Amino acid sequence: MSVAEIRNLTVKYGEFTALRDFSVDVPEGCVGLLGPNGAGKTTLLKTLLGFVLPARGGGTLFGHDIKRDGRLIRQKIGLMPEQDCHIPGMTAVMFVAFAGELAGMPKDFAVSRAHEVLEYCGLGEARYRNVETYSTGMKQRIKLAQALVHGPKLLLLDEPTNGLDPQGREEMLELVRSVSHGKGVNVLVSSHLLKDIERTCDEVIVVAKGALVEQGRIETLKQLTATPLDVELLTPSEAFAGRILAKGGRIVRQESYNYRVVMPGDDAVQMSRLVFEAAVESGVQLRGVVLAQRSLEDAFLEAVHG
Amino acid sequence: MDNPPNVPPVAVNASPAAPIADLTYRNYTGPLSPPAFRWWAIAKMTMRLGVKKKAFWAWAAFSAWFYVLQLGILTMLDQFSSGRNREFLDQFYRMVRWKDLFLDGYLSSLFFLFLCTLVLASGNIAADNKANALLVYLSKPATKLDYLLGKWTGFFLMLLAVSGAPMLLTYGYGLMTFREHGFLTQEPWLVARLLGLMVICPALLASVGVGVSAQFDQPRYATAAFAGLYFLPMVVSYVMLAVMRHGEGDALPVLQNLYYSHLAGLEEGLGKAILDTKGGFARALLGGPRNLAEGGGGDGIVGPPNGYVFIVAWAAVIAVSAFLAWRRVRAVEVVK
Repeated sequence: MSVAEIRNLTVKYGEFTALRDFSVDVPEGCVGLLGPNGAGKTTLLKTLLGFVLPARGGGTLFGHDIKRDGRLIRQKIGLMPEQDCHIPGMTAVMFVAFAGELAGMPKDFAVSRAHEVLEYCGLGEARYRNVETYSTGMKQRIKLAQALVHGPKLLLLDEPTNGLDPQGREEMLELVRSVSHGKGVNVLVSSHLLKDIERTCDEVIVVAKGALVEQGRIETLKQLTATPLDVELLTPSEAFAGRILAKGGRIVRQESYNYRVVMPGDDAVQMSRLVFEAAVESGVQLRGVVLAQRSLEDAFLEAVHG
Repeated sequence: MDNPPNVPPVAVNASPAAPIADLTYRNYTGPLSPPAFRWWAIAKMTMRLGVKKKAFWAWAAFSAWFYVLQLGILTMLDQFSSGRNREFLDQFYRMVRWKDLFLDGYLSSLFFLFLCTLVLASGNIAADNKANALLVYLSKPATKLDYLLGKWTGFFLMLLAVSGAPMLLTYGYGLMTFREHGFLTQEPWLVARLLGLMVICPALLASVGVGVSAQFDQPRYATAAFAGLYFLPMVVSYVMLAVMRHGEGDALPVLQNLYYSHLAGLEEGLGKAILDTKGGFARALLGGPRNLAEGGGGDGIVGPPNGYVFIVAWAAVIAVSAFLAWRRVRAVEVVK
């Protein structure tokens, strides 16, 4: 089931077209929104929230029309924006509880939930401090807390690790991963950091120049079309390479005792059998055979640049 | 007694750092009200943050000083007069126009209401702009209208309390103390006029405060701009008043109205128009050369302007301020 269905969406800023005839189904779970700067990721988030109106096309989010039902949609969404944001003059508890009240929570529930969410986001000790005195990492956490307070069904995270030190980044990614798996919260993470996406998301949507260029599960995207195998031997062996060539295969890459080979056929089991035979015939010890994967970065670059 | 086999003696999920707390995330499943009327939540929070400012309380207290002074003098005169003094006091009461007391109190509170606005409103939306608070407000089921109306209502209600409380308390005191001196019979609808009067200043200042504040993303610039907007036209109008005084009064009727062509002037003009008086009660009370029976006034005090024209001008300033704020406020910058 889709969280959002976008159909032929065109968004313009004056003469500039940020999204052009964009269609996508955002699935449930944790989804990454990838794309180079200016690809249209943030515009897509703004359009879902009703901050900018589409010139053409439209879509639905949880069955609500994005052009008409802005309030209903925003009640079901939590936004963690890229830039720092808070309401001046408030302590963390006051701020998060007020965010809950704005979303429609009764005051008592909002206050109690604010304490709970702040504790969860690691701000329990600092909850009575004015938000303006927070460090960058704490400001990132409180943005997450105010987005989570009303129990959104969809969490929009725009560059959630922006400005965080390595430890803070790890903790934030762990929070996101924990919220988005098995807690009934769908998450759409917009980021240019592929490692963050890979750490947290199950699926990605790749956007470039205002259009959808790729969508799918991360494992699927990382698979290579020619289905090579990564082979690990105990020691490098020229005889093994010779046997691979004799069986109709080819060596794509060799780094010491690691080989990437392409064997004839498209059945992984059959291809693996040929590799085993080559190892036996050349008398080398085989340590491992796996289907080769490319990095998400390679997949992303290929999707964007073709 | 020993635990039965296979049952752990303590909960295994508890964190060693917080043995009681369950820190795992649980989504909120409680009640959510329909996404409407968020402006009231914003108004309440605006007031909650406003009452924390000590300067607001100080200026609010000072704004009532003239009511207190006038009532104090009247009460003292009443308490300590006897014999011939009593006759003089009764004669004084017969000449008194009670609504002048309120106009003087109102005019004396204008500057303090301006200061209250400076503390509460003039930098408020600018501070929100600086902190990107609009992203928080508008990413929740609140609209731009909710935001502006909520802010405006918060400022308006606080200023209304500052403007209205001394006025109504003075009215109540007058009703109890000076009824035999014509407090009620002289102007039976005085309370209705006062209800109108107390709204003028808060509505105007809250609107201009919101309108000016929304244009900036630095509170200090917004505050400076608001103060400039308040004082600069005032200086110009006072210069015009000086010209008027040295010219031939009848030859400069336009300048008479231009005297009111600034924010405080608009408040003053509407106050005079609503109460239909020039004021001057307090100055007479304090020994100034005023003809009370003619409605105070005297040299140099410009009379009440045309109320209808001023109501339109007042509404226009509010509308322009609201329009400017509406045009500027948005969750995200959209370059067109």
